[in-house]
Amino acid sequence: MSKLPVEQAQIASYDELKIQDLERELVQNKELIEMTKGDEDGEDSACSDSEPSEDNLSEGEMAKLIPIKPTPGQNRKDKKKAAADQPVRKNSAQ
Amino acid sequence: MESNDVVYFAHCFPYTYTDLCEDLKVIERDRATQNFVNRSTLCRTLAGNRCEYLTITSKEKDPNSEKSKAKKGVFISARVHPGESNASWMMKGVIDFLVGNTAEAQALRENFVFKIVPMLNPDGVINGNYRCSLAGQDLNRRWKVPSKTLHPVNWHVKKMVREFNREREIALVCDLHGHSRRKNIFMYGNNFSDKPHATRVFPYIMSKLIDFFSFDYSRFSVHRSKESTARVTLWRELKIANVFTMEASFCGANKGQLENKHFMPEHFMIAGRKLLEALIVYTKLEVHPLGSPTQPCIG
Repeated sequence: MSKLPVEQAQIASYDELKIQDLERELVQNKELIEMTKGDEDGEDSACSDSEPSEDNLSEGEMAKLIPIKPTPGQNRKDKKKAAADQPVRKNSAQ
Repeated sequence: MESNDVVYFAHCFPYTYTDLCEDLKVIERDRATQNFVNRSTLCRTLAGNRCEYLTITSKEKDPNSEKSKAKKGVFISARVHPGESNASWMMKGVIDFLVGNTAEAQALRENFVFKIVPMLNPDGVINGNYRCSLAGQDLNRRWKVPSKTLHPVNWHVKKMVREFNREREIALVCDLHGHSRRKNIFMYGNNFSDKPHATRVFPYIMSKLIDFFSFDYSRFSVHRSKESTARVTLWRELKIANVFTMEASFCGANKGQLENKHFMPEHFMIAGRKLLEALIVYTKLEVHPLGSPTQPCIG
């Protein structure tokens, strides 16, 4: 395999850098913080971490393709929850 | 070209699931790497494919020794979006460097435990999807509450990272991506409002190591729309500064020596290597020449 052209793009060697100096630069130079504020490049099209693309299936379409059946245990839990969620009926006073 | 030729166009240099398996097979067969690389299966995907999972760290005689316990953790992943093959090339740079025979790689293996998922969405890669898994969903929007059935990789990664976090301090989490609109390579991170510099140090180090890394393209906002990304979800869980997405342009650079040039696979691999060099700088890791006696060396 040919040698990687590391030197072509290198600015500094890692052993020349001191983290304390770089941290100090970030703290003292407010512009460095300012320049990285704001939104990501979330313009129209999908670009990785930005807005998802339009080919996502909607939940309704997903359910048709991959129906997930509740487990028997889950059914009992759901029924209990549903019962607990029912409003309490007030007795009519007569 | 002949008239009957079939021409394929690609957004970026392809890197297939087969390429990954072949590369990992070469590493596994190398006797030297057997001392510090463990290849296993994180889980099976919806289509039944293996989601590859590597643990890279030097073997200690006593895994319960203080030295072993003091190692910090690093989690790196790639290719959640199957069309972003540039992410796989960056990942190849990470892995090749970590298993290499250099003083830096040895120092990293002796001081860290690396957990690596090189291809989060193998089904999508195999089937030629651009963005989604076989569930038809963007897996990078399914990290908050992943379904074990529909998003098995997300579910198992979260479980693994939580266990990893209980076991040791995590120094870095990085999810590798490709970017279809911007040039250069840059990072998305998170933000601590009381100390904004904390999450910016690591990308700042990267910008000093390679001239096609763009600190000013990097962003550190936490929007509601990103709550379910790996970057934000894992940041909220781990509460550490260094949780990033690293984005590589599908195109090339608009500055430095590669200005107006297209990125080649070698450049993505360099970026992967520089991620690890930035870790050396960030943790003040002392790198001893190969063959010299090693000592605990994180500053």
